[in-house]
Amino acid sequence: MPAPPIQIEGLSKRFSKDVLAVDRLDLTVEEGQVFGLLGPNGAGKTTTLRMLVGLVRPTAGGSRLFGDVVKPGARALRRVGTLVESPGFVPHLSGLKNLELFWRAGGQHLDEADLDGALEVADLGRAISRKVKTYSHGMKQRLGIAQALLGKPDLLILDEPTTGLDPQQMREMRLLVHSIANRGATVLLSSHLLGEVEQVCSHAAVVNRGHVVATGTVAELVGRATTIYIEVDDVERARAVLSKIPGVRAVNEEGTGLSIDLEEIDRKEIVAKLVRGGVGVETVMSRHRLEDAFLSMLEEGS
Amino acid sequence: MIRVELRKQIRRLRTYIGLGICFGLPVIITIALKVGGPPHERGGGNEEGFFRLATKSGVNMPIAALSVMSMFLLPIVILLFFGESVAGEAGWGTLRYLLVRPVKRGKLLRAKVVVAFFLAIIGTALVIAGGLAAGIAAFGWHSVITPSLAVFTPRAALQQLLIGAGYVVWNFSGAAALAFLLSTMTDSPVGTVAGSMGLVIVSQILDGITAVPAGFRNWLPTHFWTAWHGLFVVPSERTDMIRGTLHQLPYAVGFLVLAWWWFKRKDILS
Repeated sequence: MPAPPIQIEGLSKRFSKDVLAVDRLDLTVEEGQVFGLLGPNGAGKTTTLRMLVGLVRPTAGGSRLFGDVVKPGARALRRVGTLVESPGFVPHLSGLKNLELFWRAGGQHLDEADLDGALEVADLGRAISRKVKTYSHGMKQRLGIAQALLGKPDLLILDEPTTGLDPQQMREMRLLVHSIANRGATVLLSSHLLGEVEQVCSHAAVVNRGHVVATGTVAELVGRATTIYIEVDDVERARAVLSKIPGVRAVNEEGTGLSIDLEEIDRKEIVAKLVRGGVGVETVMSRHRLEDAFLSMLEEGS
Repeated sequence: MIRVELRKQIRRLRTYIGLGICFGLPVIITIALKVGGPPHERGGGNEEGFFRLATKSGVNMPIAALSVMSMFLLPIVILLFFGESVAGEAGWGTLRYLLVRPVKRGKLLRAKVVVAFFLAIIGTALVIAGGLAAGIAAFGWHSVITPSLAVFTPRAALQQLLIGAGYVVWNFSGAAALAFLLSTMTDSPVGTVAGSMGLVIVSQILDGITAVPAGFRNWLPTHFWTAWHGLFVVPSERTDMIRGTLHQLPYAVGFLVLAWWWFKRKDILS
């Protein structure tokens, strides 16, 4: 069996005495997965990705790409396309020239680059021969993705790929990630947006303070919606009604509303019973484990 | 890799301006001398000496130009080439993309040094080209009289000048290696030039104070910078040039090894 595209074991990075950016992080990404690294800003996502491609030296632990130990300039990096934080280009050269030079700097021949495919993704039309310093943020971001796709990599590592994009561009980015995954490539992307990970990824890990808090398929993390949040006009009456419903495991006050843990009961049924019991229901929202994990660690972090 | 680097550096405003100054300033000086006539005051040092004689022959002009520019302006341009090479990439945000490719970091540094060194040679050559072209146009192709009143045929003077120019380029290597080391440490190209030029200036000041013991001054990186003037006396004095050439080695090698060592271990956070 071939080695998985990404294997991270006990990865740690300490920048100074007080700053432990990544703390014994373990993660495996299997071939064909679209894997989301979800966490708030400062959770250590970017540092993890930088260590994964050999830009930052781990303090302890290590990672493998396709079975090869990661170190600066590792051969396995040939099979990896990367977008680390924002894209970076030589401002006084055109987009096209930047892509060419980027590729040739890796010691590889332009014939292997699939430049046409990348240009299609960049979708910059005639602007591709203009100097990069004239580009808008969205154009640079697209060019950055195109650069990462040069050479049709087997693994794509994208750090916050939708940062600074407008909703339309975000949608295009999601479609693009899907199409890359359909081609059979593995994708690891980081994000602080729950919705993005839900929509794009097949698997996810929630990261906080440098280590993995929860991991699994997105369906696993999201699908079992075990908690709902409601806002009602009469909290006391609602509590009374809920206490008589067998599928309700726990009711907690949360802000102006109630958070209710459910087991094997549909939320429609809950709402119907509340209304029949004379409670006016104003808001109903699903909570799921991914969001719970995410929110609880945001609270911890604040 | 080297071709890629060269392609990136050459087509830039900064390179055009740097090289433009190298070529343009000797031309401007020539025009000034042509219009204003030769300076009459009795000069003390060799630089002024070369200038007082600059109007005697077109070939005197590039000697004078190199002599005056090699102390301050030319090093700034050359230190910029070295200091900007890595820090500039960090500033553009392209350094991380160079280093996520399957290329060893040492190989990238080598390409950067080679390209900066190439630009340094071009810059120095342009000083001579500018001085020579303007000088011959203004003052003609005559025998060269040097401050020590030695006379050279224009061809012989030019030959000595080319050797001198090679020596001048090599003499920047210590400071340039420092600029390069700083370039691997910071994201600010200006800082690298300031730092390495600071060394040059401090060294020149200390070297100019005769009260400072000679044993110490002999070790300053700029101490032998003007030793190529010895090519223009008869018989030529090359002892100091040979010492100067060797003298740069510990600085150049030391700073380069340090740069290499540092960059290999560096966390790329830019």
